[in-house]
Amino acid sequence: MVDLSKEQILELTNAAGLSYDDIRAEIIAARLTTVLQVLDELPDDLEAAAEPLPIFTLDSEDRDD
Amino acid sequence: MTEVPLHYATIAEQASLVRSKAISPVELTRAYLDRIDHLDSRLEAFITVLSDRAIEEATEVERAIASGAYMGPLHGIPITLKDIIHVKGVPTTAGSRVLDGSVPDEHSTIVRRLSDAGAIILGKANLSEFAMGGTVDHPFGTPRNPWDLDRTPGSSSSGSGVAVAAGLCSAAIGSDTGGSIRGPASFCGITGIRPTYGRVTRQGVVPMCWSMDTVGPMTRTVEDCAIVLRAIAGHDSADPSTGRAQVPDYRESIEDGVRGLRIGVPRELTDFEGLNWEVGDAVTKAIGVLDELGATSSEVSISTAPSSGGVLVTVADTDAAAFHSRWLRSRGDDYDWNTRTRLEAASLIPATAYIKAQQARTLVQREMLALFDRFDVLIAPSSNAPAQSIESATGRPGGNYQGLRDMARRRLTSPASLAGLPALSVPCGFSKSGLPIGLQIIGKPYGEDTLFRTGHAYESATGWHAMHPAL
Repeated sequence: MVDLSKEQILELTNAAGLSYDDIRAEIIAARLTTVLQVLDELPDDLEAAAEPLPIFTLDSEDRDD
Repeated sequence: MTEVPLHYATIAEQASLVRSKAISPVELTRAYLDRIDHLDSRLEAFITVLSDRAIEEATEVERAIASGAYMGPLHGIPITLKDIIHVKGVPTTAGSRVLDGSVPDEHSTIVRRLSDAGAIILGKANLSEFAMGGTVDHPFGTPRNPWDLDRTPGSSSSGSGVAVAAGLCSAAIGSDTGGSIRGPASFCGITGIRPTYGRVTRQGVVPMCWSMDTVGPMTRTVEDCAIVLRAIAGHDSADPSTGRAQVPDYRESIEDGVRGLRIGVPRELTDFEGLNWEVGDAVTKAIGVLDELGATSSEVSISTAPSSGGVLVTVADTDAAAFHSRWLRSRGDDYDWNTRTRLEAASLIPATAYIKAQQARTLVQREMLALFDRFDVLIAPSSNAPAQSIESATGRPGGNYQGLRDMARRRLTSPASLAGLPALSVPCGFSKSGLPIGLQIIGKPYGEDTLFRTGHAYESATGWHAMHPAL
């Protein structure tokens, strides 16, 4: 289960040359944790179920005129 | 002659008055400008009011009508635009200090189409910064819900919702990525539609999420929504995401009723932890009204709905973070605290997570589209609860962010957004504390006509839309 801490965020952002305060890092950790937890619960074989979309399609919709 | 005050009259009613010359476009425009002058210091619906320009446009339009060149139901009708929509020579702020001083040198396509229909551009409406929702510090004033000034009007098309609900314009144009028309429509007791992705051009509109943004009307009735959508919809060669499907006259079928309409009621959207009981009750009653009118409703499952909020946030926020990457580095301090934090969090989402979210999005779309083999529309609440207090919505740090609870409430608007489907919100009642509740009607791609006839039938049988805040 993903559970990011503000310290991990601060490490990451410091490495990127950015400087965040504790409160911002805490909120970012909470947001990222939430999103990654939801994605973690998705099935592992998603790529088998969701094939890429075609690049070329026939335009079969009605045209305006 | 209309029995309601002119400022609350529908576009259809106002158009009849304008066409018959019972009222002039200048009188109508002045009525709104006077009302804005009187009320907007309390409501903060507007960032820019185009008083002189609107009167000039109204004067010109009045001359045209007098000479017999009546163009249709929007001729002489004052419309407000969410301040992400470019108007030539008028600053576009996107509700942010970051765009301070940015003045477009040409109209957006939407404005050109509204002008071609004879509409008057009244002003630029306030909004959550860059249409992202959750703004804590609004640099141009905090929009207030006309039903209770201590409550939020919803986001991100907040000012647009306020302006329509408070009778400050005939209609407004908002935008909806993850619910930004439906939410304010619900909280403000008005009608709003998120059109099919690609139904309305986004040329000249500041983007939030390029793969999910839509632009649509916010009005006081379903018929008005249909009138405005017809004027702005249609392919635009300047926006390759727009489809070539013909734009019907949505009013032609709006009185067709709902006899035989098959309504799907997704259990994951009508019964979940976090759904306010008054909202659930109002939606259940609304479905009952539609059944009495001849529709047939039955329960259905959207298995991908519970995770759709997290999928949407991953896709939309990451898209937005890409758009804002340069400004975040150079103008970070000019962003609202909450917007900036949200974008920075999205900047750290791993690419693998983004890909997974896009794959999941395909499954959401597939599941949603398959439902329209069995149903004509799906019905759910527009929001999980009535409007919250501004204090709780804007408290720092992090605004009103509540982690997984946020993801849970997002399940209501995310499936339609992820799948690119049209979704209409109409008022369906009030909470015990007098706050509006919204009913969401979701349709198949380019199925706006079915949404309008369903919403219109419901509206005609109830009357929630005819109630207005005491201001």
